[in-house]
Amino acid sequence: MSTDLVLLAVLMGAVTYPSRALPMLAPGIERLPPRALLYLRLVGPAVLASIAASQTLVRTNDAGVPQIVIGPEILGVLVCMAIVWWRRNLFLGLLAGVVLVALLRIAGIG
Amino acid sequence: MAHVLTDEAFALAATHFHRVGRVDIPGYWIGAVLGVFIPWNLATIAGYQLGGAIPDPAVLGLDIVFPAAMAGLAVGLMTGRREIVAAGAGAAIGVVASLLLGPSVGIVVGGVVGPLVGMAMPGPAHEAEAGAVAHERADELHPMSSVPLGHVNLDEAIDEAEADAHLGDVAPKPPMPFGTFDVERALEDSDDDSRTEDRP
Repeated sequence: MSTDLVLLAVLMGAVTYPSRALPMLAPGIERLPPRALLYLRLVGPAVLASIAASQTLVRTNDAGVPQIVIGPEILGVLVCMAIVWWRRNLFLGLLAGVVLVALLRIAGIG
Repeated sequence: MAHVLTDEAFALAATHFHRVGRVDIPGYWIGAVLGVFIPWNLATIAGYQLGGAIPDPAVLGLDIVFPAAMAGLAVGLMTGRREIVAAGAGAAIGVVASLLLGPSVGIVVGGVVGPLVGMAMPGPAHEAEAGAVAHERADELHPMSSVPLGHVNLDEAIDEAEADAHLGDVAPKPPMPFGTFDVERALEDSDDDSRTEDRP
């Protein structure tokens, strides 16, 4: 097993973990102004939705140029979201999304 | 605690903390670490060892697991109008910025600007009414207190009340043993004595 990436993983952790842990663990964070607390509360859904949308809709082509891609992945993600909203069960949503995309690809769609 | 804070553990912990209204460290360890971090790494090892047996994971739809998981976790955080608007704006801005600036920068732009759009939305009606009433009565004095109503921190008061109740459950007042000095009775006796002495 190659260990070349271990140092990179440690460095990435040193950079990213504090930025995630600080908002949760910094003492006195709950005493920030209400608008700052509201902003922090909204960062979670915004950044997760941004990741999901960019990963689903944007691909970088061989020339390195980002472009919009419309495919069955969108349906899979939307189905997952709908099931999580309805049943409050992430695993069920993921399973349904993956199965749907697999079936669409087997059918030659996407 | 931060040593095992993956994206998914962060999202689950943030959702849980938001639901219970406080930082719940035991809940974080049980749910996010046992439920996410350990299985994540075990599955990574299994994938490294066995992944070669799957010729094309995309045919099985496995390539959508990551964005679908992010979207599902975002749904879990959508507890109100502002959260929904922030998520929608974050997604739209993230895609546009990804096309213009590249996906890695676009995701950050969506995550930073999306909440600002959500903040521009009016809050729920009951929050607005409560805020208006609190604003109107901010300088009104409570009949039993010299502290203006607007300066009472309800969250702290609730936390203190819960802590008191919890303390009472954990350490019930023991029955007074025989021979223990009864302060209240002594005070009453002292008052009676002083009244007696004051009499001519």
